[in-house]
Amino acid sequence: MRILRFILVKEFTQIFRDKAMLPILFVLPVVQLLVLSHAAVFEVNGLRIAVWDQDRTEESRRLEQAFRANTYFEVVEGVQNEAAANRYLREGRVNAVVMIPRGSGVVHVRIDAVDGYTAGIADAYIRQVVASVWPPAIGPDTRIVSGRFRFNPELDDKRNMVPAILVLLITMLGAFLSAMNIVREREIGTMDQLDVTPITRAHFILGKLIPFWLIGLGMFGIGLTVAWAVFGIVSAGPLPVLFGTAALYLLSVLGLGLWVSSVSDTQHQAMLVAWFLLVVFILMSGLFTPVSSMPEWARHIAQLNPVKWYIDLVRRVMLAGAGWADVLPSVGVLAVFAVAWNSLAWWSMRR
Amino acid sequence: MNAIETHHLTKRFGGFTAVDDLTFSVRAGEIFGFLGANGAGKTTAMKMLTGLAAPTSGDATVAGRSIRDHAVSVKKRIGYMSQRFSLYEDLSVRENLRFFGGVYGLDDATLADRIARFETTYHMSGRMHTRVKELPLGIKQNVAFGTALLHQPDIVFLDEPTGGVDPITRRRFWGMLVEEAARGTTLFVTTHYMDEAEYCDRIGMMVDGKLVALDTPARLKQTMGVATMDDVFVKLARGGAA
Repeated sequence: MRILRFILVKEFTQIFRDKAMLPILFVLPVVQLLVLSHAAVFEVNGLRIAVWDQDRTEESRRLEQAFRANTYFEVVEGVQNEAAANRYLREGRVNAVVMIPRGSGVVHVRIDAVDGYTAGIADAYIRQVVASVWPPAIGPDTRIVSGRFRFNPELDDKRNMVPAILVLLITMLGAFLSAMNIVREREIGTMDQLDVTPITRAHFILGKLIPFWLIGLGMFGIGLTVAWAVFGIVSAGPLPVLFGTAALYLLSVLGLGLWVSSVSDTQHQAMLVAWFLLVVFILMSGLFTPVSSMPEWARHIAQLNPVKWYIDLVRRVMLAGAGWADVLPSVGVLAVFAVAWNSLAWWSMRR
Repeated sequence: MNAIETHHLTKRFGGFTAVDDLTFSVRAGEIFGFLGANGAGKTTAMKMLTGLAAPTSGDATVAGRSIRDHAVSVKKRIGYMSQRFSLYEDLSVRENLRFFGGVYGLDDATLADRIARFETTYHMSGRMHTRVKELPLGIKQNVAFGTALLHQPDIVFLDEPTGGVDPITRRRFWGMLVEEAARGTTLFVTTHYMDEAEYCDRIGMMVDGKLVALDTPARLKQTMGVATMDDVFVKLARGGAA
């Protein structure tokens, strides 16, 4: 224990002496939460549409007014013929052109589908507006089944994104910093010096993991504070569940960092390996696209992704108010990851 | 009494034999110079003696304990200083001393006492809180040596300790080594500088994984019929025998 104490004093001194460290700890969570949660928003706002009214009846004007009054749309002027309609679409000046032909009582809609996601949303919104003004106009599929959204009634993407970004923060911190730190000892040659001392492998690993484990938890706390102070997002579920599971999750992330360091000789290599793994984990985590919409093989692979499990868990706790009993199965999975990666790292450490 | 004894110590990497059936001993309190061209097996032999690598066959006793069976207790009794001055550059002199002293299990009182003694021995007062990276190379070398001695090891291994240092600083450093050996510490030194070999009590010369000569510098020169250690080295490395 005494040896470990000296190792921890040395590690903390070095970590906080590193000029990059304090910005990483305090600026990174704020910037990531602010930028990502605003940028990675899936709600489609400000759809630009042109309304080309050939009918010029009271009915058609009512429809045009409904588009102008709707805050989701921004009506662009100047489309009064076929050529202009096509040009505006092609140049991306409008997302859609709504054309009302003379006397037919129907609406022709052309949508820019370069971005399929936005196109789908635009289509749905336009149908809703048309259906509210001209109930029978577009046919039977304009009937809207009213549903109630639970947990996030306003479908606010920030409430969904913030927990996921918290998870990304501690994942990146844990994996990168621990991997780089250990490889650095090898790179500057102090690893040999440590090897000739009575420090055992267990001392060395604990001495490296404990600081980043505590720092990761601290960062998680800072992130939660920012979420509350800036977005007014407060966890619906109990904080001990969040911190308890974060502690467990960090163990598996640090195990990953440890393993990366054991297969790398330089910090550059460690960075590349860690970056490659994290990109795969993050893309397959359900952060940007739901896991349920992936192809079957990808869904199976995603089950091996701790980032996916933990984002899911944190969302359950923060939004749906899940407690220990609800997250127990996921906790079991996280424990398996923690044990598996740390064992792998232990086994492949070449010292 | 012998500080180091090796018995048929051998290390193979696949088909390559880096250290071939090494049997010799180093007396307690002597400065033992371990010479050889690059790739002669010096580093590998030293790695086995310091517990960094396990022998393929054979064994060695270091500070009275087998390196095969008691690697950890051997590590407590030895010090190590490499040419890379493996101190933490971002820590101060005192922080380095506390760390290395602490991991060798020194208690707080002993540690404080040894650090105070280090400060006077190496004339470091006023520099104890300086970060190691800000020290001149010669001073760093002293600090590394002092750090390796902090837990009062029986044997200190020095792997090319004076690489890249000017002749005056090297001479001063060797003065320190001679003093330390006079106090009874065994010093096992590898070097490429033949003027340094003259300071050693005895010289072991490695060629292709084998120990081809083992004697005092004076007797080596005499037997080989040459005037300088340089000539001894060249003659032995080219395949002559002592």
